[in-house]
Formats: sequence, structure tokens, C-alpha cells
Amino acid sequence: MQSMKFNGCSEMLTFKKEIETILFTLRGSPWATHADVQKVISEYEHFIGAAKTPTQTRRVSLQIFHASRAIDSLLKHMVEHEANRVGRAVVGYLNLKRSLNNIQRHGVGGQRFATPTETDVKDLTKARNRYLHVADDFPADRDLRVFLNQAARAIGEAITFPV
Amino acid sequence: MESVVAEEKERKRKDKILKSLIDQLPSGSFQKNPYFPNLLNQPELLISPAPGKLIAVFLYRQRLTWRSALASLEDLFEAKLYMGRDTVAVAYDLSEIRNDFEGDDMRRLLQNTFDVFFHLDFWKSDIREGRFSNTMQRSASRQNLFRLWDMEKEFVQGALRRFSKDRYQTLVDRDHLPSRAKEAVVRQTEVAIEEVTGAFPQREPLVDSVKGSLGSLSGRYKLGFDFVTPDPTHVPVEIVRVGRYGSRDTVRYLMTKARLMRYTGETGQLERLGQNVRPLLVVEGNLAGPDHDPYRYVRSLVSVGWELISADAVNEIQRVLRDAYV
Repeated sequence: MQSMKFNGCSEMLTFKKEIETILFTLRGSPWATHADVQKVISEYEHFIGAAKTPTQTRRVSLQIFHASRAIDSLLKHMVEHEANRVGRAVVGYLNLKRSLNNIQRHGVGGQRFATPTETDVKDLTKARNRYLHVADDFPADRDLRVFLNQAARAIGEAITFPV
Repeated sequence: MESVVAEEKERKRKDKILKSLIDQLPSGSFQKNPYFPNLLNQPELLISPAPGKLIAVFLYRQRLTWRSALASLEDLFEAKLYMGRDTVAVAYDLSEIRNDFEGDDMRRLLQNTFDVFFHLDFWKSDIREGRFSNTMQRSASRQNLFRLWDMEKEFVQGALRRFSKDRYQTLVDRDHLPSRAKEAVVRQTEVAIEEVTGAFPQREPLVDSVKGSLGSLSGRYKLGFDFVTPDPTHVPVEIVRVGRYGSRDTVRYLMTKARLMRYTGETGQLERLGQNVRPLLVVEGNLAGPDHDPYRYVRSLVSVGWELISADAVNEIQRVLRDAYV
């Protein structure tokens, strides 16, 4: 029992360090010089700050909200930037699913998401739609961790795309 | 006991050096001990002197050998793949200097691939005179290697599609300890190859690699394996005896080995070989990763092109040889 408790705590610390590392990497990435990505950085800071909210339902809601906005806005910006760069028109509004499809089809700076990350982002769109649209439905801690991990790792991979 | 004391002394020395580096940086411009889930070895420090610039600092205190040099080179590959090719990768070699032909070439390999590489003697004065921060601000990533990082990223993404937990489950059983001597596994594998191909494999072959040209080395180096299978497959085979602990450095070394045999040409004009053969790793024991990600080492090796089988399942060699080409 003691060991399980210790493992949980150690996992939590690793997760905290990982999301902080992604924030630092985001600030140092060449994308960070774009005004729209500065907004993503602020959103990601809110996401990290949300972990300190004492009320559980409020904390979970804020974490989902800020993580979703951060990844949505980042991928949307990347798709638009790439389309501008190569002179291609983007048709319609870019939501997370459309941005993902666009990246996988056309690439950003010649690169695309790896298959596991593509699957993660697809899962994110489904989970997010459920969490944001079904009343009084909150994910269990374990599911929330998966959701946040997938969002953070997708952001981490996206910022390695060449500008 | 002596080695524990020496290890502790070395660790304290490294901490002291890290602190003297950090003391020169403005607060908020660095992160100590970052964590990237895909890196086998984490940098000690991340620095962002300005928005849009990221520097990863690795400190190496292990004595420089070809094995440790290739493991360090793996850190560079991973930094470029998982932090972005624009990330400036900095390495400081804190080990005792080896003044011989090979030692020079090992250092040259790291000097000519990392964006910044110093041996302790070179940068000691930087610490004293507080020039570390300026050195970091002036540093830039090597653009002539961008194509290599891009080709490697593309390869890794393709190779990862082959990974499945079911296929490699037996390799992450941490209770499966290495019990046989390496020579016994070598002989058993040799016989299995002979049964499948009708001929004995060649022992201790040397395989071409891009190591020499990548590092602009004075010697032309090849990579050593335990076997290569006979005509027509020519699959390089390596046998490792590993357990739950201490396998990470072996994995880092093996990763670079697989990467380097995939390319040809000179730095700046490296090309992927037209058809690549997948090297085979025969594992006596297990390659279980950390508790939160037991498949980490197996997945990493598969991502750079290795095929893996347990030494208890050498009968799988027929399948491996059938799918030998990437």
C-alpha cells in the first residue's frame, strides 16, 4: 500500500515536471516569436495554474478548458501559417479535428504527427466533446490524467515542427 | 565501497559545476532537470536566453570510450528529434582527457556533431570568468545537419508503426533475469541461423557506417556486431545480456549504432541508403523500462530499426530474416 502511494506521488511529480518542461520548450521554440503563439503560451500558463484550484470539479473543468484552448489555438495557428507560407487557402473554420487532418495531409514544414500522437489527438477531440458538452459529467482522475497527458504531448510534438 | 565513494564524489563535482553554470544565468531563463518522456537521457539544464531560442545542456562525466561517445551521440539525436532541430544541443565533457588517436577521434565525433562541445579544460576558464551565459547566447544549431534530423524523424515515425506491445511482451518481464553466459547464447543463435539458412553466420563482422564522415574523423570506422547472417540477407546480429537495471546506457549505444549504419555520404550531404537491413538484437534477460513505461527501451530500439527477439525464442529467426529489409 505504501509503495502504491509512493508510486502515485512520484508519477504526479513526473507529470508536473513534464508539463512544466513543455511550457519552457514552448517559450524557447521558434514558434514563440509569433504573436498567436504567445497567446498559446499564456493559455498554457493558465492550464498549469489551474492545477492549484482547490475545488475538484472546478479544477478539472479549468484544466480541460485551458488545455483544449491551448492545443486548438496552437494547431490552428500552425495550419494557417503553413498555408500562408506555401500559398494554399484554408477552407472553413479550423477546429481541432480539422487542424489535425490538415497537418496530416499537408504537413507543417514537411513534418507530420507520428501515428501515436495522431491517435492521441483524435482521442482528445472525442473526450473533450464529451467533457465540455455533457452536464455534470467529470472524468475520473485517471482519465483526466490521460487527457492532459495527451494534450501536453501533442503540444510538445507540434512545437518540433519547423517554422 | 570505493566505487560508491568515487561515484558520490563525481556526482558532487557535477552538481558543483552545474550550480556554477546556473549562477551565471538570469532567473527565469533556465529550467534545471527538465523531463521529456521520449528522451533516454535527460539534459541537466534547459536555457532560453530569449523567446524562440532553446538550449539543452548535457554534462558527461563518464570516461570517454566509443560506447559512451555513441551513447552521448544518441542524446543529440533525441534532442533534435524530440525538442526540435533548432534546439541548440550543448555537451560538456567532464571526464579525464585521453591523449591518444582514438580518444581524439571520439572527442572529435562529439565536437563535430553537437552544436557546442567542450572538454572541461576548455571551459573551466569560462566558469571562472563568467562567460558561460555569453557562450550560450552566441550559440546556434548546425544547419548542415538539419537534413539528417529530418530524415531520421521520418524513419522513426515509420518504424514505430511496427511496434506492438503484444509482440514484445516477453522482453519486458522483469523477473526474466539473464541466466546464461553470452557465449552460450552466441552458439545457440549461430546454430539457429545455420538451421534456417543452411550456412553458418560470419562472426564479428564490421559493418559500414557514417560515423567517420559525420564526425570528420581521421580514421575510417566500422561498427562491430556479433554476427552477420549469410547470403542473401546479411542481417547484423548483436547479442546482449541485460536485466532490469543498468540497461539504459546499452540501449542508448545500440540506438546510435542502428542510426549510423543507415546513412552514407559526407556531413551536409548525407543520404539514406536505398535499402536498409534491420539489425537483429537477441536479448538474454529482459529490457523492461521504468515502472510507468515498461516498454520504453523496446519501443525506442524498434523506432530506430532494430528487430528484437528473446534468446529463448531464437526459432523466430526465420520470421526475422523474412522481414529483414526496411
